Amino acid sequence: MGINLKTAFNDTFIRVGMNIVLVLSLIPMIQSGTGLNFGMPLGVEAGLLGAVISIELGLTGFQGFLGAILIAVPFSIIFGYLYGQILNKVKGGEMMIATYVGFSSVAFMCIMWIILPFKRPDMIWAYGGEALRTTISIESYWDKILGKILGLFINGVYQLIVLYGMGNIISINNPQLILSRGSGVRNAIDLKGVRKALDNLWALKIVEQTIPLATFAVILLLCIFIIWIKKTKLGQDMRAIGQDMEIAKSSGIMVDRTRIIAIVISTVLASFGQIIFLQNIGTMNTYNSHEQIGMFSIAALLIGGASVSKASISNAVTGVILFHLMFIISPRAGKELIGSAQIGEYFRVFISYGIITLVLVTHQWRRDKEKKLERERAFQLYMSKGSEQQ
Amino acid sequence: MKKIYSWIIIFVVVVAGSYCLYTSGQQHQVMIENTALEGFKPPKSVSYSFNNGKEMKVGSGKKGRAFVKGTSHQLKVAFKNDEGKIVEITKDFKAGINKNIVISIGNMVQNNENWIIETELYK
Repeated sequence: MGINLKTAFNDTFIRVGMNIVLVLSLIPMIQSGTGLNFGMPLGVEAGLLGAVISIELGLTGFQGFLGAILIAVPFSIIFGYLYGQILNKVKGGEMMIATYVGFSSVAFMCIMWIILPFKRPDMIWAYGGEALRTTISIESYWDKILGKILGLFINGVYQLIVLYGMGNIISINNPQLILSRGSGVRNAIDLKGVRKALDNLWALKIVEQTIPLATFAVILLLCIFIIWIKKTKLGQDMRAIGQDMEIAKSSGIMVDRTRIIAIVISTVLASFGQIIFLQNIGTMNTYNSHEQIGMFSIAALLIGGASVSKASISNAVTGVILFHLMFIISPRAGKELIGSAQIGEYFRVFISYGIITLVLVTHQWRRDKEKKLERERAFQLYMSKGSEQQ
Repeated sequence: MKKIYSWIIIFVVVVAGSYCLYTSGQQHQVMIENTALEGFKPPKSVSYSFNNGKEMKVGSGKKGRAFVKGTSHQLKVAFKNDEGKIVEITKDFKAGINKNIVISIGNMVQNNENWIIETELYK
């Protein structure tokens, strides 16, 4: 296909370092049976707040990066705690399949729109969307919409804070941060002071390729942290809750508390992930660029072989590599195979959201099957006890 | 009680660490003024560097801008005087927290006390 392997390797390598922590942050929540973290923007927003305040304080370089991490921690703990409290109220399913179906259908129809000679494409678009919605029942996932609404609400609150609170209520003096009217943070902030602060801290150059050893050392530390926490009592409790919440409760595990701790860990890790991502990119989009970050991270983890109830570090690493390879290969594949790079790009989006949909549907289908089997077993037990008594 | 002590230790470490980050990581803007003063004619070109870093130049009657990180710094200034002799001056200075710096080469050459002035970080 004429892909430059060296460039593909370099791009994937850099992007893995950028995104892996965000994907790793999903693992504690999956282990504790809370499912895929659709509230990741909460942690990301804590990271953004940390970055904004770090810039406001004039911190640069590695100190700026560390400062952002340090500031983000209390925010992410508070956000994670509140998010956990709410998720504990809607136990059973926090994911919203309908949204992914919607996204997948849009991407799928984009491919069709280009490939097929539609006469009235607007009608077909609507039809495609409806068809997918009727295939997957929204009603059975009503509580998952709550999660989405919560995410949107928190995002709104965040935007309210950065747009009106900062400058008016929270004093921001840095002219690089604040809008000229005196309140509200700029839409895009240049992070040249902290750009590559971690990447360049300890880097190794091999054949024109710079390997950010410090970034990978941080990733390794976080992986060790996740492995360590798995082996602690807390980790065992998380796994027990993930397997069966009722059994875990009856064996004395404090389910709500453990779930909140898992959610807080996920939120804190997400904030770290966002700061590592920002220091690599060097520009911060303040308002809504992070809306889709949860979707992309979840897609990467699932592509790596994880499921709603089981995820490991190897899933995260494999997923991020495959996900980014798709970014590089899809447009080229589309161009070579069908003659349009755009189709390849839509295909990538379709695969990303499609796999989330598939995993969620499979998860729900398996859960329904297990419930049915349990009911049958209970019925048989009841019947056999009845016949013994006679 | 052990738990309380642990939290106190964590709190103290975080506060101390934050202070260290704040002082060592804060960036300050330094303005170098090569303007005329009474008894001082600004040289055509002045080269200056901070902490043995990259050498920068500022022309006659102009202001140069640089950024330094942390509190303690060393400034090296070099220029040719009217007689064509190279004059080199080295000065140590401190940048206070939430402060920017304005340095006057004329006052520095004349050994005036006000060769360095601190201004607010964002004003």
